[in-house]
Formats: sequence, structure tokens, C-alpha cells
Amino acid sequence: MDRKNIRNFSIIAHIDHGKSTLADRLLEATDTLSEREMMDQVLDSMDLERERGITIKARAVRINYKAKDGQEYILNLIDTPGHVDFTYEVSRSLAACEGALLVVDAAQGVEAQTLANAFLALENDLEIVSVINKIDLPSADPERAAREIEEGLAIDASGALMVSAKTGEGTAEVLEAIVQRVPEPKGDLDAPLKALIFDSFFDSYRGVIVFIRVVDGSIRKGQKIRMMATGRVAEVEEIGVLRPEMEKVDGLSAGEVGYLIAGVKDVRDSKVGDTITNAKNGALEPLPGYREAKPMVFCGLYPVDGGQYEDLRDALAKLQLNDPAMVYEPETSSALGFGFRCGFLGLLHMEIIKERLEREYDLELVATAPSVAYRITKTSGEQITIRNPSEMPQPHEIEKMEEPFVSTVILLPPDYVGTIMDLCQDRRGEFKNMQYLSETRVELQYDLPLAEILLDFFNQLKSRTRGYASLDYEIKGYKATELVRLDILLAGTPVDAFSCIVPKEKAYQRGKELVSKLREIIPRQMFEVPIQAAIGSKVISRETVKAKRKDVIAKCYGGDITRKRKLLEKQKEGKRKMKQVGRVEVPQEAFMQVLRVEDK
Amino acid sequence: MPAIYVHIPFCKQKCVHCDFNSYSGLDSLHRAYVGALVSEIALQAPALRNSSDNDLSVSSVYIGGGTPTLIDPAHIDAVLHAIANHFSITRDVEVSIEANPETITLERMAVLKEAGVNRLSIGFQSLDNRCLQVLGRKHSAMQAIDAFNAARETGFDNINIDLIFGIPGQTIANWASTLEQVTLLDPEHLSCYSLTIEPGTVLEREIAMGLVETPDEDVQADMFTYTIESLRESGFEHYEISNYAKLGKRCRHNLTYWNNGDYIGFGAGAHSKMLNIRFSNIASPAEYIKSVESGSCIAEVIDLSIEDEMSEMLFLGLRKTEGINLEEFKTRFGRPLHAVYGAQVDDLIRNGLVTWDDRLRLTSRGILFGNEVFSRFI
Repeated sequence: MDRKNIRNFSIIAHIDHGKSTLADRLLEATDTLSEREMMDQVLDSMDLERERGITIKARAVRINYKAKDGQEYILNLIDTPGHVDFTYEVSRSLAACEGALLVVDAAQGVEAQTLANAFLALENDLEIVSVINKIDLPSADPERAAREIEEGLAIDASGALMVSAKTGEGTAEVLEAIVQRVPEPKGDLDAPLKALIFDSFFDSYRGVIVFIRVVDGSIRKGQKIRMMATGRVAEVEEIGVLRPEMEKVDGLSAGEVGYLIAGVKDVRDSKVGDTITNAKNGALEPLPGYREAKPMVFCGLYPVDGGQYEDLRDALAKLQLNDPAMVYEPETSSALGFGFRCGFLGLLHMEIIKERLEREYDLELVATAPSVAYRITKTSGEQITIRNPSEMPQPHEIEKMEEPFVSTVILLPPDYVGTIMDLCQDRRGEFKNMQYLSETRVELQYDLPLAEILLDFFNQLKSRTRGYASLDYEIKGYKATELVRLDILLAGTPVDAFSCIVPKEKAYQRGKELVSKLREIIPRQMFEVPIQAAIGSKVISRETVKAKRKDVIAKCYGGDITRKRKLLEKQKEGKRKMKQVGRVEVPQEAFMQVLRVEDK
Repeated sequence: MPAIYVHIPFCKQKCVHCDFNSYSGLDSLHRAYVGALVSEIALQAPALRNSSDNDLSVSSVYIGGGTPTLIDPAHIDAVLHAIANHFSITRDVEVSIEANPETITLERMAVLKEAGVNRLSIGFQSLDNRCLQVLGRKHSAMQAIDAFNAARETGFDNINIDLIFGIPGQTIANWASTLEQVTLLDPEHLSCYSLTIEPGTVLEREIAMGLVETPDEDVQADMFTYTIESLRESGFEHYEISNYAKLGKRCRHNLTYWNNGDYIGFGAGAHSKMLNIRFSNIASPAEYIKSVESGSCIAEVIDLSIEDEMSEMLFLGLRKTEGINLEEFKTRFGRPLHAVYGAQVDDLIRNGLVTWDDRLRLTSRGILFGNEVFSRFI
């Protein structure tokens, strides 16, 4: 088809603002899927995604549409992940498009993620079509939403489309707007092949399936190709489009979107953002914007049952086939035994991986508190990066320590600005900017240490604003700060899994909080358990879990026996689920709770 | 020799901590229920005779509830007659009945004694009126003492008093005072239970709603230790976790449970165990009555595996302060106990919770931490 009849677009929106529902309506209205074929929200294909209501990996769908001008168009809808952890993936998906639908909930208004993703779209020179969704809600205020788009993004929202994806109202106008307002793809048909990889995943039957947008030239079955960043050369075995099921075609040319299979067994050979070109006489310059996905958040994952170590290793290897952003290496903890230090893009990414390991691979895991990667310059001049507090050198060996910072955007109603500024201040934030988007929405910008974001920041933000604030952030870089390692001792023995790196000026307070938190979590044992927080050899806080005094079934007669046996079984199972640390039995959640802070 | 248990599931009012199979407001069922009991006894006896390779002479009968003394004592007489008609009864049979103080009168006691009851278990729970109120008991401390005296007057010379400690708000001094007054009455047997908050009880709800404070574990532990010491000084033998007896006055019937002996339960929700089979009756009194008429009232049958039997012998047997006879274990299961539970036993010995010579038993520390020990054998 003529390129002037192709439109490549994404939908960007905050979680729950109706992106998936709108996508469903577009597929339905164009008969891309009949209603009967239609499962709700087709684009979210993983169970976990559907349960959490978020889209983790990008997918693409080709829509055939006959416009009001009587012409046939191909609309390629490229879905984007909807979470801060996947900003890079979002930016690559957007780079494959010429336009984006910016969906804003008419009742909720603009949220931090809307802004962040819309800015990404603007950076990629996309034409933005504003869509105000959920206009059927009684609390809808489309005018306010439009005003917030104009204030927050400095784009004209006067032509915003009024839509209810739920009822289907306005869907037809959206399709027309895509045709009329999103530019046709440019690109040189005769130039050497340049195709952008915007997603890839591993299928156990077919190997790696790569999603591409052809920018220049063309690609066909049998062609030899080269991935420019990894240098990997392969032959195209199959090429096709997604409708949304895979449909083979002979080839794709500049402007088109589809998939290819090239006998690649490892997703790491076809990385998101990489450029595909001809193996011979290929393009000289790759497409801009590629970077390695870099894990920013780390935690230890340990099997509750040491016998599951091998299973955990196999499971991690399998998950990595599909998710090269997750990294892992073996690690040993004196408290938890053998496990792995795993790196993730962010907190959500971490939670998803842990949940998948437990659910899909039937593993029972203990996760240590998440940590960031610190850069240390030793007095010897040596530079190291540590991902686990236990790797921190002795204080006298440290010349300088740096930690990653993020620039955050927080959108919230004006009433809560004070409390959130307090929160950011308390979290060592550096105020950057504040702006009113409308009378009900303020944009706050802070630079914050990433470690502070991991420290229950999101929950605090939500609870302090009764759920009205939203947050987005991106990595800014490293900055020198004063940090110390806080150790926790149980019954006199340091427990490495509880160690954490904290800002020096807060060490005392954190130590106290941690010790009192652990005192609540650790159940009474047969003996007294002192809990201490220490920096180096100096104990800064101490509490005691009193010894258990009595634990015996008082009554046990003929009718009680079966019931009492069950009670004892339950007690035994509860014990089994505890992690034995020295003589002390510690509930699994204690290891994650380390970084949960009370709201004061 | 099996023991026989008879369940009377009726109460004037259910106590707040009670999770037994008992009901108030079913007065109209008394007659039909006793009829069903008599039928069940007649119905089951032949089958029980056939299924047991042991002799079926009965050396203990226990009538529990509920409040067995709530129903007409003539009904109790009828039930005991039915048992005597269908089973051979040993000459020295122990026949116990549970009674609440407000139901004890000289006349009633006399009828029961005449019917063959020779052991009385009176539910005092406390001799503090505030504590009695917390538990929702229908009697006062005074009534309890009067009831005891009336029973004595009738000629009962084997009386147990049931007590509960660790009642919300109860102090050690308060508990000590109850214990002192009770020992002055000079009963033959005492059961002293640490209050347990059972799921689904009124008390559990009251605690959840913050109306009543949770019993303090430390206070209960102190009370338990105090009880053991104080009753020893008063001449009671501490022979099971919660039970104390004057010489020769241990409860033969209850020992059957802890010795893993056979027993037959009659009545709604009653449990039985014969050899390696455990079974229980339908719990609802109305349903039970109907089911007996239709010929079978059994709700659940559980086959015990060898492992179940071994672990039960341990977690029941260790409730007795004298513990378990190792020879008996070996004879019964063909393997020495140490071959089955060696690692657990060694670990428990190291932790000072059990000792063993010719018997395996809880140490005085082990008595406080019975569940730590029992759960190792599950």
C-alpha cells in the first residue's frame, strides 16, 4: 500500500485512564476483531498485566480502516508500557510512530505519567491528538482536563476529542483524526534498510519474535540482516504483520510495522532500540536513541527452602530470555543461604519478576529490601560499584560515595502541596519547580535520591494525598552524599540481609524505626531476642523481644483430638515458613519490611 | 476396655468462651434427644461388639456437655440403664457427670447418685463474681460453694472442680484467692485451664471489638506456674497439663484419651475411637435425633495411619506428667521410639523440654511449652 495511506500511532495515558479500552473500541469499530473474538482488552496479553491493569510489554496491531474520504488506510497501533520503570521502552515505541493519542480521564485530569509520556512523544516529534475520555462519568470535567493539557504540555487542546471508550461514543472521530492529523510516514524507500526494534519476546516454539518499524528501505523473507548494536547477523525466516494474530507477508518497506523471526534464540541479540540493517552494504548510521536497559534497583532473592536453589536459577534463566533488562548473579547470605542478587528497572519490575517466579515457577521466595547501586571511590583511588550493602567497604577506606538521583514530577491537588513538600524535604529532595496546571492541579518538581523513592515513597505519597497524587521520575545521574551502613543484630549476631545503606544524618532515626519495626514482626521465641541497630561497632538502638512464656494446648479430650492435631499442624507449618537466622526464627516479610516506614 | 462418653448438648445459656457443641433454647428436644441416645446405644452396641477384638467391658462412663444436669435426672438414669443393658460394666466403674452450680440441688444429686453416678465434675470456673460475669456464667461464687456442699451432703466422695485462669482482667492475687478457697473445700480433683480464645466464640468477637482485653500471656504463664506449685503443696498430684488429683483420684475416663485407648461417644457430635478408626456423630441435636431414627448418625470416619497413631500416642501421652512408656511404644509399633523420632527427641532434650529414661516425659519447662514438643511429632 501507498505510504501516504499508512498511519503509525501510539496511545499514551496514565494507568486507568482507559488506554486499553479505547484500543479495544478501535479494533472493534474497524472489524479488526469481531466482537465474538474479542476478549476484553486484547493488548494486555499476560495474565499478570491484566490483573494489575497495566501493560508491561509493548505490542502492535495493524488496523484496516476505510476513511470518510473513501480511501483505505492501514493504521498501526503500537502499544506502550504504562509505568515509570519502562520509560525507555515507551520512548522506543513512540520512536516507531508519527503520532500519539494522548488520553486523559475527564474526571481525573492530567497525571504525572500523562505528562512524562507526552513529553517523550514531543521529544520524538510526534503529532499529539488529545483525547478526553470517560466523558460519560457524572464527575467528568472535560474543560478542566483540556485546560490542564494546555498548561502542563503547552499544546493546543481546543481540538481535543470527547470520547467515552466505555460506551463507544467518539470512537469514529478518533479514527478520522488519526487519518487526518497523524502525518504519513517519511523515509527513503531506496536507502539501505533501517528498521527499529521496538519490542521483542521469546517464544519457546519459534524463538525470538522481533517487532519492527521499517524506517528506510525494505526487508523481505530470506534477506540477511544485521543488528547494529550487537553485531548479530541472521537470516529472516519469516516476516509478517499483526492483526493482532501473526499473518505472514512477503516483505515490509519503509513506513510499515510488523514482526520478523530470524532464528535468533536469545532476546539479548535483538535489543529494544537497536537498528536492523542489511548484512551487506548496510546503513552506516543506526537510528538514534538506542541505549542499554540498565537495572537500577537490586534485591536478593532467596528460596525459602534451600533445596529450591537450582529451580530458582533455572527460572531466572528462563525469565531472562524474555526480559533482558533483568539481571542476576549468585550471592550468598549468612542469614538466608544461597540465592541471587537481581537487578531490575524499578520497583514494579522487581515485584512483577518476584511474583512471576513464585506463580509460574512455584517457588517460595524471600526478597531482601531493595537497594540501589552506589559508586564508591576508595581512599586507594579505586572505584567500585556496590549493589548490596554487605559489599560496602570500611568507613576509613571510603573517600567518596555517590548515589543515583532521579528527577521527579509529582502532580497533585493544591491542598496537599505542603505535606508533599515536607515529604520530599524529609527524603533529601531538592526543590526544582512548582507550577499550577489548573486550579485543582499543581505540578511539583524535585530531585530525589532513588533510594528514597524505594523507601516506601509511593505509598507515602498516596496516603498523604488520599490517592490524588501521581508520580513519574527519570534517572538523572549520580551525586555524592554522606552515607553509612546500618547493621541489624539479632541475639547478638549481625544479620546481613537486614543491613542497609542510609544517609548519615538519618542513621539514628532509621535505626530506631527499624529496630522497633522488627520487634513487632519477630514473634516471641523460646528465649529473649535482643534486636540492635549498629553503625560499625557502635550500637545506636536496642529493643528486646521478650521470651515466650507458655505455649500449650490447655484442653485435649476425645472430641478435641482431630482439631488439636490441625492446630499443631498449622503451628508447624507457620514455623516452616519462618527463616531460621542463627537461633532466631524470622518471618519472611521481615526482610522486605526493612524499608517500610511508618507515616508520622 | 472402651470408655463410654455421652454428650448432652444443652445449656441454659452458652458461655462466652465456649466452642463446644452445645446449644441453648432447645428445651423442647430433651425428651426426644434422650430417646435417641437410648436408641443409638442399642443400635451401636452389636456392631461395636463385633468390631473390637478386645472385651467390651466398660470401666468408665462420662456424661458431659453442655450441661447434663440441665435435663431431668430421670433421663440420665434411663441412659445409664441402656448402657448397662448393652455393655458389661466393671464392678468398680467410674461414672462421672458434669454439672453447673445453678443446676445442683439435693434432690437432683440424690437421683443421680441412685442412678449410679459416683463422680461429679462441677464447673466453678472462678470464685470471683466479676470473672464469672466476664465469662457469662449463670451462677455466683456463693452458689458454687453451696453446690459443692450439697453434693458432699448427698454423699458424693469423688468431686472435680473445673477452674479457668487468665480471664480478662484477672490478677494473680485474684486467681490465688480462688485456688485457696477451692482447696479449702477439699475436692478430690481439680482441672485448671488456661483461658483459650477459641475462634467463633463470643469472647473472640468481644476481644476483636475491643470490649474485653486479651488475656496476657505472661500473666497466664505466671498463673500456670503458681497453680502447679500451690496445688502440689496442697497435696494434689499434677498428672496432666491441666489436671490435678488427690492420691488415687485421677480421672480414669480422661486418662483413656491420653493413653490413646478406645472410647465410644454417644450423642450429637460425640467422637469415638476404636483401634485405628476415629468417627464422629452428626453435631446438630435435631439432625442427630432424625439420623438415629433412620439408622445411622455417623458424620465422619477417619482411618488413622500408623504415622497418625504414633504421633497421637506422643502428643496425647506427653500430656501426662508421667509421659510415655517406651516399651509400650515398641510393643505397639514394632519399632523403638528413638528409631522413629530420634532427631526430634534429641533436639528436644538439648533444649531442656523433655527427658527420658524408661519413659519419655516433659520437663517442668516442657509442660509450659507443650506445643513446641507436640508439634515436632506431627
